[in-house]
Amino acid sequence: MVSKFENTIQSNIVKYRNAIKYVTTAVIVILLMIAVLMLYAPFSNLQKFNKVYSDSTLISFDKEELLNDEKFFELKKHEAYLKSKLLVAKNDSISLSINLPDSTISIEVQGVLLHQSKLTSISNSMFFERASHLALFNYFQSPFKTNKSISNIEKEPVIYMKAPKDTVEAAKNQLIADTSLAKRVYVRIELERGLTIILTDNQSKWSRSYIYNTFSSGLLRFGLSLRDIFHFKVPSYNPVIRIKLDRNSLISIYRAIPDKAYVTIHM
Amino acid sequence: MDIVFKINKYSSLFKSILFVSVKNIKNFILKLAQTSAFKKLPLLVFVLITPFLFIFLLLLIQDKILYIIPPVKLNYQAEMETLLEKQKQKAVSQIIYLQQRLNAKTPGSSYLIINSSTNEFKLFSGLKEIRRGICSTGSYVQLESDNQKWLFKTPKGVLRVQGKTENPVWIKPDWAFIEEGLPVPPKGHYSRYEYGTLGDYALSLGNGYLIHGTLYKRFLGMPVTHGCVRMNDEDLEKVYKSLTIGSKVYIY
Repeated sequence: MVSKFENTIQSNIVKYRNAIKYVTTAVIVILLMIAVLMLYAPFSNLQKFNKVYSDSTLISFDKEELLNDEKFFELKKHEAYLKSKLLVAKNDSISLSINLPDSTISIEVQGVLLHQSKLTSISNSMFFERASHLALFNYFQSPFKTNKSISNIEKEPVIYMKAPKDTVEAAKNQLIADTSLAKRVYVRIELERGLTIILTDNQSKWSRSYIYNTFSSGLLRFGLSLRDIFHFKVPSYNPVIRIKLDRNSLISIYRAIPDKAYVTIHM
Repeated sequence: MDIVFKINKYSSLFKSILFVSVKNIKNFILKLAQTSAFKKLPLLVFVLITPFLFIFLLLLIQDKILYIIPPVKLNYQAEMETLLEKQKQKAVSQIIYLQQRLNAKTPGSSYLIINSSTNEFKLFSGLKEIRRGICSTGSYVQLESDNQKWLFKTPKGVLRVQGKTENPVWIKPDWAFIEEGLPVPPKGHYSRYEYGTLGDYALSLGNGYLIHGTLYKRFLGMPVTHGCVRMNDEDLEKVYKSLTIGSKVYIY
């Protein structure tokens, strides 16, 4: 009876081992497929990007080849940036301007500069370095509208307080400082036309919410890619602009801009 | 009676299955513990962590993989040189023109910019900054009584100076009494009038919001007000004398 039971266990272990082998092989194959498709995504998106934004009728000069001159391209990008800013200045709400060649970020309302800060670090996706000049020019020549912004700090740090019953209770109510200033700040702004901007402060201190936001945004990207793969599509790939700036400026900027803020970028 | 018998029969059967299953599982675990598989626990942990490492490595590579393709070769014909120079000059003059148009958006007269996150202000005259300093803005406290609530927040956006007063008197609103745990007096009651608390000057921004002085100077630079903007005496005097009725106050 015991040996029969032992035999059953032995055969079960062999079965389990085989099953683990098959499952592992299947998982590795699936992961490889996902990897190949995800690594193919930037190429496919770059091709699409170059095709969609290569409409030469959008440029004001006759020969699009002129954009191949680096100096001229810089001048035209600057011109397009100023045009975008003027367009946004017609609006009554606060807008965000990012000037990458000057390493500055600013907020403006009706064309008036409210706050400007120096960027301490800029890291762009390779996508922008490999896209055609014409496509890049067309892509950045009009302002972007914010689709969604996520952060680990509150937009409005509201502190709820019950009205005291008497003067004794009122005297006990102490001033509560805004603690959000103590942690590392993470802001992710998702713009229309598939562009993402990640703003972080230049502190080296890590916090749980910062790690959570960094990892969750990565998982979100991966999840979206998986969804596309399971729908037999090449996964979407959104280029990212990562910038670092002073913490106080980042908090001021994030809290100042409205949810659907306009963003102008000088690439 | 028949039903009771059936229930007893099934429950004893269920108990025996459960007993045998538990015993088998226990035996299986004991056997497994003796095998090498159990000793491979670190491997199991590695297998569980690897997918996450894989995902983040993949995302990291995905952002940089385009490095493998060469950058777009930039070519243009030599005969375009003259046209290019012309276009460059045109672009430069267009940039100057656009920058001038943008600068023209800035008020020519004095205006004030208040940062409610860092509690700082800057006073400008055109593009020239004439004073900067610390102030106090709304605390973001939401005071809730039985039937009302107030959010002590400084309004953001473009506001205008709507009135200027010297030696202002503070007419205390209901929340000032509720916040202190005091009974709310009727409108016009003498206890509502407080002299000297708002400093020497006040500039009205509309809807009861003021820029005024303070007795609590140690709180300057902190978000402690009920929505008004507090400044120290010297800054307030400069702001009061620089801004006129209709001057713009930008709060963000």
